[in-house]
Amino acid sequence: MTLNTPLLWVLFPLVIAAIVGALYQRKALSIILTVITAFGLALLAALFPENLTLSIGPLRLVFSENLAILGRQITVKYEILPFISLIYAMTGLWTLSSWFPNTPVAFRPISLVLTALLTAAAGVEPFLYAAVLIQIAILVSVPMLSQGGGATDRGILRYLTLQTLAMPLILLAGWLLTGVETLPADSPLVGQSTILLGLGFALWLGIFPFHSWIPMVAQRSRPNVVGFLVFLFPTTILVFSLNFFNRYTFLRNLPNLAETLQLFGVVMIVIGGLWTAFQTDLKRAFGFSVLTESGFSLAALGLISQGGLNWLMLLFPLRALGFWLWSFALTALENHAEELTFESVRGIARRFPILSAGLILAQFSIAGMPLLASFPIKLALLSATLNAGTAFGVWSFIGNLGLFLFTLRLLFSLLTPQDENTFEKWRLSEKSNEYLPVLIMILILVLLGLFPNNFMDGILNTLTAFTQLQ
Amino acid sequence: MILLLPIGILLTAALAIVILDRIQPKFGTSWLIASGAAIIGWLTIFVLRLRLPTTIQIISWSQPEIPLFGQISLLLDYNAWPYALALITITLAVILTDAARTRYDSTPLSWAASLMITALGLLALQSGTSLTLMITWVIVDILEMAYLLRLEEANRSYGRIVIAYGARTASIMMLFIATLVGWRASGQFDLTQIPQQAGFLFLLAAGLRLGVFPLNMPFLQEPNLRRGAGNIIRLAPVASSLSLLARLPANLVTPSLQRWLPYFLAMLAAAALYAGFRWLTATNEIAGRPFWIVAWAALATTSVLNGVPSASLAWGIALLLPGSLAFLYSPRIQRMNFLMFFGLLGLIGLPFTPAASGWMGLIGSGHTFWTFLFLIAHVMLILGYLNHALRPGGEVGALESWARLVYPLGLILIIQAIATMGLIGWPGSLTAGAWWLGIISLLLIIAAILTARRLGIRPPYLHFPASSLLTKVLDVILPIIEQVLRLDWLYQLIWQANHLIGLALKSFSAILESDGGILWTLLLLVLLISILTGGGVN
Amino acid sequence: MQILPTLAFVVIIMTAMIILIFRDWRINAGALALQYLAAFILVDVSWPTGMAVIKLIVGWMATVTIGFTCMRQQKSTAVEESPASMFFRAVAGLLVILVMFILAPGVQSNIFPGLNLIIVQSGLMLLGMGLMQLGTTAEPYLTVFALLSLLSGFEIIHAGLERSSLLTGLLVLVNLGLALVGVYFIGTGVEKGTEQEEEEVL
Repeated sequence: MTLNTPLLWVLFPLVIAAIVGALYQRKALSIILTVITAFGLALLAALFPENLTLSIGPLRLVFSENLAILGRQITVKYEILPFISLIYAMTGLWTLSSWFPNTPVAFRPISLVLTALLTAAAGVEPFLYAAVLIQIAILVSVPMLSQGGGATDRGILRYLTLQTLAMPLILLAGWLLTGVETLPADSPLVGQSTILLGLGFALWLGIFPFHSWIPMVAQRSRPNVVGFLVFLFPTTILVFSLNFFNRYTFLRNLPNLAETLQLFGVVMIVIGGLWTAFQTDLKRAFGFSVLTESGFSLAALGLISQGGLNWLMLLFPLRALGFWLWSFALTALENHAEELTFESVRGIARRFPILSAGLILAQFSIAGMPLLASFPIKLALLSATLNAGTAFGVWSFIGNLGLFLFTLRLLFSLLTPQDENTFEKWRLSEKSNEYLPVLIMILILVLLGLFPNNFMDGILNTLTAFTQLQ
Repeated sequence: MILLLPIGILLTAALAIVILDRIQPKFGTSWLIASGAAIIGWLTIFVLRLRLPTTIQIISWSQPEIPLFGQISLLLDYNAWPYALALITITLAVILTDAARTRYDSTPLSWAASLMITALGLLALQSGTSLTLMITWVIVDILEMAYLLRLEEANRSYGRIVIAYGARTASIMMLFIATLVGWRASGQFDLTQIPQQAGFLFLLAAGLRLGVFPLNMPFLQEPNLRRGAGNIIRLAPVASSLSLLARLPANLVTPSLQRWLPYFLAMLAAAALYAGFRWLTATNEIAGRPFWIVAWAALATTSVLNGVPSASLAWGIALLLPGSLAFLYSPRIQRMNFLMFFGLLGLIGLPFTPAASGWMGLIGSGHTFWTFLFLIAHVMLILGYLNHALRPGGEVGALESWARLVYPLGLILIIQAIATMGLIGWPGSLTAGAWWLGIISLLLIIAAILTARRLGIRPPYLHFPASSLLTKVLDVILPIIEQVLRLDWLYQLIWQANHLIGLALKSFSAILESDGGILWTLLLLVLLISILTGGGVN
Repeated sequence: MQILPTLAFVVIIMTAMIILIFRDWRINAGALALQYLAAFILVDVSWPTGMAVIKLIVGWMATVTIGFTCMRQQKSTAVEESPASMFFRAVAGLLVILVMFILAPGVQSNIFPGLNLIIVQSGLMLLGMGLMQLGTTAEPYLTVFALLSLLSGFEIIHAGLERSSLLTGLLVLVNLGLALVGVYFIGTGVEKGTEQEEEEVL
């Protein structure tokens, strides 16, 4: 019996999403179904044999990598499975956090749909059709961002606008590059296609000045939903962007491209760090820190010749875990505080010490504090950036300090008692389903910070899908 | 693996005490576990003296498949061993002398805390690479902050605690950038081969942590830390910073930094003098402890800047051991007061005493005005030590019989460690050194004591009458100096700047996020493109 | 036979200006429908009529969907708009038209040499006016109208470059998806006028 991998990782989750959507009123069941599907697909992707053949007793299932649709193909190659495993695992993890009240019921089915669509986008041929699939994913994501009721959030409108603007640019770039894998350096197509591609990706990734939707959406939507969105989309889009480098020699050989990517990366790190450092709204700070992370990804891309792609891939799972803990802690605290501003969370650490600690450590982990998950990669990346150019390295480091500064200010606020004359004892007010996930994730972040080699090599196998980038 | 033995024993003992305290609290058994573990650790450190240098690699991140750099390793060499011995000695002394403080603050949990902090302190000062140091510093800082926040006074001093934690975090960041600079200069290195290009940044990292360079003293009025575990909490992080100082390269001051050297020395001299004076006039040794630390740390840092990092060992050991002798001497028992004089051995700097090798660090390339100022600071430190050592008020209370044995034993152990340092602490520890400075210092001390007697200031303790002009002047000047040195003005400035910059950024955000934000975005895009193309970027 | 495309181009300019200037959903929906008709005529230049009509149908479906939703939500037709803001938008629109007129020949010769100038001008006009619309409103249905206009401008140009059934189908999904998102926004939003009325009652 011959099946195909897109059936498993694209169509099957869409079907499950439809079922989950129908069961939206049964919260526990929909969570269980979504989590099982997501983790199951992740596990399958992680353990799938290289010969694409599954033997279950007498049953032998042979998988092909392609699914033909209307003369085109969706391909889920074996080499890309580690990445697929990552995004489905993260979908499952985020779904686990969706039991919090006020999380939109649409989140669970939509999260599966998004992951399936983006999986398809990563493997569609011609790959430029991915732009349309990503656009559909963006449209699908809107209901989960909306809190429902009240005036439509301007942030979501801005998100929709800026993301939609990207699709025509990418499609036009695709038309310009049709059938042309190599271009002479003086060809006008080089400049035109580079500009269109650059603008398109800048819109998708929220590169300055197209970043305004990120803090707007972060401020108004539920943190766990925003966390999922700002992990899934940029990660998949960055992997998708590697297709361009892989296919087009002129892009790889473009003079100054590496420096330009590094420059934009550093600019994003500095801007994100600056804005994060001076925030008083915890959710907006989360949004702005995403800019910094995008900057690090760009900087890593700009260091392709020094092994930057490895750091790019290594950052993904660590960033995902850090974002998850951050968004989980914010979501939990949001249920206990009126708002998530410095003023509203004053002294909350004494009542919710574990959640507060989780929030602080998540931020430190994303920032690259030693002992925590992102530190080894950030150390290597910053070292390479400094070697590439003193100004780049120094400014990247300074920009990265923004999140440290914000975290220290937040710590001050969390510890400032509401009334300095009354001694408030430390007490554990969190429920077990709030503090246990936090403690487990902190432990995971510490283990990854100390033993990055032991857990990270799998994701690097994704790079074998890009033969020209080895 | 032997390097991990004392650390492992201490941590295991701490865990055992905590479990025992939960299941079936037994004071005596817990004390036995704590003291037994500390003794084994202490002996192990002595044994390790015969195997220096010893290094073990724990984790390596460098692998062909994964492009990560660095390794976590431990290194015990002649620069770290003295501090390791000092730290474990202090821990053992804390546990032994806690026998006399059962009425106050000695509890099994405080011993467990002491053992754990010492284990982490040993890990930090035996760090073989800057990576290891960063990680251990992070752990120590978090635990210290958690410990301080649980104290009752934290309700009022939370701000100071966070600021102190912030300063420590800044030191870690300084170490981070120092590592990057060092790697760029000469590839991966361990802490015995710190490149010159990164040396000053390493110095800043250690100095920030010590609170001396640049000067920052958030805890001029400390939370009420106890003598036992509190002493360890204060001194263990200091030890790891001092160990780093000793490893810095001698040619740390590059030609470009040479012209700034007088300013650095001035800053350190001011810190040493002020801290020395505050130590001298402190109401008791615990109140004066922060100043004790800053003053000796200033001398150690000066040694590094003067190109003699090995001399910092002398001042660092003076900070830890004789200081702990004073800090742990509670309750005071009249008959035991003489033991305090032995602590002077580690301070006085006479030839062939432990501090004798430190004078070369204050001379540097030649006797200067700064040398004289540091000498004055040294004199004040000794005078203050004498002042606190001879303070009356000793309790002639009854100690339990077993405590009568172990309490003085704890103090004697510190004295023994001081003597050991002088003999075999590090290469060159037994030396005449710049003996003339030691003699001058002693003469100045004697002169000061005689002058005090003449002025009617009654020894053995220094007390200025409230009506005296000096007291009135000091009452005006000291708070001002304290405000300056505590850097409150700097934090206010930073807060104001933070507020202004935040407002500006908020306004910019509001524009971009307004209804017309898309148009502003497009405008910014056009500006960006014109800047880039105008700058010649393809 | 350039008359029809030229007429369509003029209609596009007029409808784009109407959508930009006015805030009445009925006027805007009507203008959008007319705009899709003009777009169909322009796409018909490059594609077979059978395929080009898909754009028209999809566009009208999107317009009707949003229009009906606005009607069901009883969106107020008496939108308070100051003449100054309308004048401002008119001037801005004229500016965009001027810029696009200037840019179009250059774009056509450098990037789309195989395309009719009218096609390029129409597409750029819709892109530019769509952007201007997006920059001058935060009203959900107007934003969706602007995005639909913008996409139809892109599709006019893209139709002259490529003919792919799958891509056409996917773009249909995108257009309808946008319309549905617009419906979602309108459905979950609360009229500002209704809020004010409630406050007065209280």
